[in-house]
Amino acid sequence: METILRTIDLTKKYDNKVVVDNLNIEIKKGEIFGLLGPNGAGKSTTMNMICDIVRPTLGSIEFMGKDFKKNRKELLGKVGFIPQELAIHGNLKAWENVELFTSLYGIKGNELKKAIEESLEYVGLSERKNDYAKNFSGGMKRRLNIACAIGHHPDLLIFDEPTVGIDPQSRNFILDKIKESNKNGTTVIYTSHYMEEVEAICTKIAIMDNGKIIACGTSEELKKLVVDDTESISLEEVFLTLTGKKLRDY
Amino acid sequence: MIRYLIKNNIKLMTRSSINILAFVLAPILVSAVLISAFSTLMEKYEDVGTFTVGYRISGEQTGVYIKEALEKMSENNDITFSEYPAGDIEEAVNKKELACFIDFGDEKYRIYEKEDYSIQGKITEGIISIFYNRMALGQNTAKAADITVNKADFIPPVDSTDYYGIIEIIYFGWCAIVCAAALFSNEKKYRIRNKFTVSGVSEFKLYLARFISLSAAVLAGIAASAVISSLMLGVHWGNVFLSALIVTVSVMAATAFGIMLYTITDSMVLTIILSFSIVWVWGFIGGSFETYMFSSLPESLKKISPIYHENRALIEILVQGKSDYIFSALLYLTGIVAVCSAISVLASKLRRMGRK
Repeated sequence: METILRTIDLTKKYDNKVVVDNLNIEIKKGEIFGLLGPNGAGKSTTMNMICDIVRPTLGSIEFMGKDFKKNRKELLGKVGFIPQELAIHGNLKAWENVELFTSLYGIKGNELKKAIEESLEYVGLSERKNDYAKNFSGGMKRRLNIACAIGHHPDLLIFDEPTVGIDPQSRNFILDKIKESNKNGTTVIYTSHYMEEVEAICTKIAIMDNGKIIACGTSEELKKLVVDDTESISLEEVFLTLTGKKLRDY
Repeated sequence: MIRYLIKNNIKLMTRSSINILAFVLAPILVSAVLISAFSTLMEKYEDVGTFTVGYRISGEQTGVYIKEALEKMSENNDITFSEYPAGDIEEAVNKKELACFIDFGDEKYRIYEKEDYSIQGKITEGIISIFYNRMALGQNTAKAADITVNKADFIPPVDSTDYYGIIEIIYFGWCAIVCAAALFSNEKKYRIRNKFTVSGVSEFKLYLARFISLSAAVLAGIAASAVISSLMLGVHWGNVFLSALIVTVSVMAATAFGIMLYTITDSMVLTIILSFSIVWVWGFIGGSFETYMFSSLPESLKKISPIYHENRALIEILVQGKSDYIFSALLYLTGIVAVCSAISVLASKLRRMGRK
């Protein structure tokens, strides 16, 4: 499979603290890549570097075979970022929120109208498109947050804990949609603290700790690192075995 | 690309009831209070123009020199002295065309003042009093009557309704950043800025979108306020096109200034404190509270305030139809727009790089 994203010795230091340490990951086109790690492991910083929100101290990122730094503007247009925060405006209607964020990618006119309709349809909010976002439930806001990031048809979708604090139905809906996007050819990077979610949707999983990848592979491959009988152990147990049970207070 | 951002930013700002209160209703309420508070004070400084004073010489000794004196006083001032040698004095005093009436006796004189012409009465009283004092000091008639009432030419004859109706619109316009407080705070709180970054939109375009939308929203608010205050309070604006141009550039300057403070501080609370403090000082020395005409502050200090240039230009446009301050106001405000915009874009670029 073709590599869509590669990090080469990616490092981020804040003062003297190394948050991401010589990270080398390779994500193939069409994968759902799960990035797991305890708090402070460096997941968010890694994703922020991929999205150009944070600049690496050292190392580089290659996206679709091109150097990210040199082709920043072109490549950012192929990325969709769904942050953990509900990055939407409560005083805008659902369709207005989608319009605002989709238009940032240079989409306009009828193409924009179509993108708004498709995005809202995709997350099941077409019927509520004229409602203000502030009146939505937590799950609906999460879905709208997704709709705001997919209108420009990105090749890479980055989800940062998209199912925090929502009901099982909404969570199930979001996970189904991520799988559906992936089937349509979109590569996905997904972080979550819910191990069962990651196990259910990710084709490859990396576990990060102290800024480094300590294990990477399919769910089965990770389990085999700990025990031979993969049926007898959950991904959460593998995670705790590899990262330890000590509390991470950051 | 940014037109959708501008459009939605305007929607967000104009859907806020706080903004409607702050930019539409508050200027009207504050204007109304100040108009009422300063109406009497400002009436005293109305330009009385030319007026006629009636007189009668009752005394036998005064006839010759009084006529000579009145002629001289009339030459120096916009006062016409009209003699009423006979008839009922009460009837003469009550004549409509007369602002007041003087009855000159041998030992004394009596001035009949009218309620509707109290300022003219005071002026007449002052002149005659000075004349007699000089005569008592032994000056000859011509010299004693050489009196000119000084009109301060920088005091335009504007009433408190027009003055505060205009000035408060400008003052509230300078508080433009308040209109964007909720929007900018939300962008920060919910990390919407990160989504802007991920989209690859440049800092310049983001600034432009903010600048245009905030200027438009504030302008819409204060324009509505100006229209309502014109209809309800009877505020006049003189040359509407020229005044609208100054108000528009003023709002643009206020917007650029507010955005610059926010970009530098990255704190809306700090921005509002700083903005209000600076604008208050500018307003204080620029005539937003005490009229700039009667302020005892040095002219050089007043000129530091952009609000002074705007206030003076707008008031003079209203009362004189022109003003030497139009150019300086527009130049000052345009300069603020240019400098603050450049600093904002630079600061936001540096901030983004610093964050990285």
